[in-house]
Amino acid sequence: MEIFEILSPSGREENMISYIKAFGESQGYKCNTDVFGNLICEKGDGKIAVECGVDSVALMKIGETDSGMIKVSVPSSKEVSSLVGKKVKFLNGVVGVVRCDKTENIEDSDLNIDIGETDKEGTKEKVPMGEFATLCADITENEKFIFGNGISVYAPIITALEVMKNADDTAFLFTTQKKFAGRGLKALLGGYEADTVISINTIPEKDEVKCTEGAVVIIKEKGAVPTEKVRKALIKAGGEKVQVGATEDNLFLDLPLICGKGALTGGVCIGVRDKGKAYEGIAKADIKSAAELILNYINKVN
Amino acid sequence: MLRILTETDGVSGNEKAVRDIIFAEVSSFCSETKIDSMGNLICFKKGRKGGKTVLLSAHMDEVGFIITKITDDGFLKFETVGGVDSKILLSQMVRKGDLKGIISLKAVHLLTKEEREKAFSESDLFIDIGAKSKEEAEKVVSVGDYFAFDSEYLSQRDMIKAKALDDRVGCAVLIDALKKEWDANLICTFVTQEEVGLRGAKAAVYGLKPDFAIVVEGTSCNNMPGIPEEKRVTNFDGGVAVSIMDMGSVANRDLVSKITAIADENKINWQYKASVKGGNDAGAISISEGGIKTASLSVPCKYIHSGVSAMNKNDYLSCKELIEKIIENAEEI
Repeated sequence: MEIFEILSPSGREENMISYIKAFGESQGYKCNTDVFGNLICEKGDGKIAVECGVDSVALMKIGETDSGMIKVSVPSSKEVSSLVGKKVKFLNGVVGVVRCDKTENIEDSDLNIDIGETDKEGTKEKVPMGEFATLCADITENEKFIFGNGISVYAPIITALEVMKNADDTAFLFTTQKKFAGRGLKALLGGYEADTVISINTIPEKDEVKCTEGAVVIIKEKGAVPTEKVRKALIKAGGEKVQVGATEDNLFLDLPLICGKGALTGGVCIGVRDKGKAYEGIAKADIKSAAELILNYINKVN
Repeated sequence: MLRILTETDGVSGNEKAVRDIIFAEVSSFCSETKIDSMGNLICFKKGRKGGKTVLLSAHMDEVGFIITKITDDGFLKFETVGGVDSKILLSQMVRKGDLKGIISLKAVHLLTKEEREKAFSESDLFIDIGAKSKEEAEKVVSVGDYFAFDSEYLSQRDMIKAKALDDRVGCAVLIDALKKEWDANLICTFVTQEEVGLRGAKAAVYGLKPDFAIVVEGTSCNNMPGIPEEKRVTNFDGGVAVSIMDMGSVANRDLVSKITAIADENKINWQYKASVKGGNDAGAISISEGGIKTASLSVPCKYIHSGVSAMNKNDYLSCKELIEKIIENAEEI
């Protein structure tokens, strides 16, 4: 799928936003971006909004070594060690590999991006100061699973696009900088009104959450407990193949509750195998299940 | 003005003295001024032609100390306000108005071997004001009082050393901007409590709706021996620092691109801030009410968040000049 070729590091999501905008318009949605780069796609006058983030981990070039390695700064410190050994691509198309001599307590200043240059000048010519990079997905798929680096970012987007094909009277909010404490969503909700916001995220496969066994309705996340009546309605909309889960991750389900005028909130997740490691895995059936669940919910409410 | 601003004390939550100075300096140049419930000073200046509205923001507060306990023998226990590295505190002079104190620790020859080898923490420290008892100390200090670094302004070659360059340097740039006449409308917010969570800015910008905002700050500069280039963040005398991203915000790309183009056209010395660490009021302003196009321009400051921060005059002048050119060209932005 061409979507996996699109790079969308936090703060530089414009390529993904353009892609989704074109898709939304082809489906008859009125699509606009706000000052923050968030994309709002609307059809009809329903009061439900389906939301997902569109950004992936960002690495920003801050310098180069004498031997031609690129030094980067990574705003999301908990993701740093998971980058080692992975392929990254800068927005100007230059590809590199993340190398690191340390094996523990890794900070972003320990990382070196190897783009195959052997001196400072060569590197400076290839990649300018301040350029952004993110993981290359490097997709492998079979009939049941999609495997790739950092592909958990794409799963909520693909799910939302599936729902868009068949939903009426619904708004879709594609938010930027979600990895940055949900900043895009915070900004958007300051000026946008909805009665209910259903957020699509991912959840690591573990314990009670298994890949291939359907969408996961969230009962609790790090920052919030979703609105009870929304949570119950989502579970009902999932029918027989739905899972229920809690997570220690911050999915920002509290933001609709506390930003702007306030809205009801619910969360639907897709399970990810080996989230954060090389070649995460997502079951195609789970994406389909999540899309159907959300569509059922929308149809029942509307 | 920078000397006066830096030598005035205004630890987060106690910015009144700084605000009074700024107000006295700028009020006659503004069409309207307002002090809100957070203590922010908001200054409005109508442009000659109207059109775009530019918002400039700087914070008035500085890092410092708050007294948490007065011991029976007259010493003051404290906590830091804002991010202060406890390693730089030992033997620092601090003050509350005319009252001076010394930050101290148990004398080294009284420390056990174990204590000497262990790094001390803030809770091991105390402020000595020379009182011999709690009663004597309580005559001049109360729990909840603020102390600031006791440090004087010094200008030497191109270097200016002072406390609170972060962000009195930004305040000074805003004051100069308010004293000039512009075609565009100008709003300057002098905000409180940045160092303790961007609190003032969150309230200050609500409802203002500028076309774009620039946060003017002091930022880290690790241009010292032994620090590799990629860890310096900014270079001393490298020009005004333009942020791309930090832990609190991503600068609006179009705005950054226009700012750097204006800098290049006018041959103003500038550099990128080469780190995504740290944050400033752009984190609060950019997400306000549906979002505001925001960027940050900073003056590099060595030894930031200490009593002896140091900046280069040329960097300050570059920042001031760039801000002025941005306001002049507001219609094109």
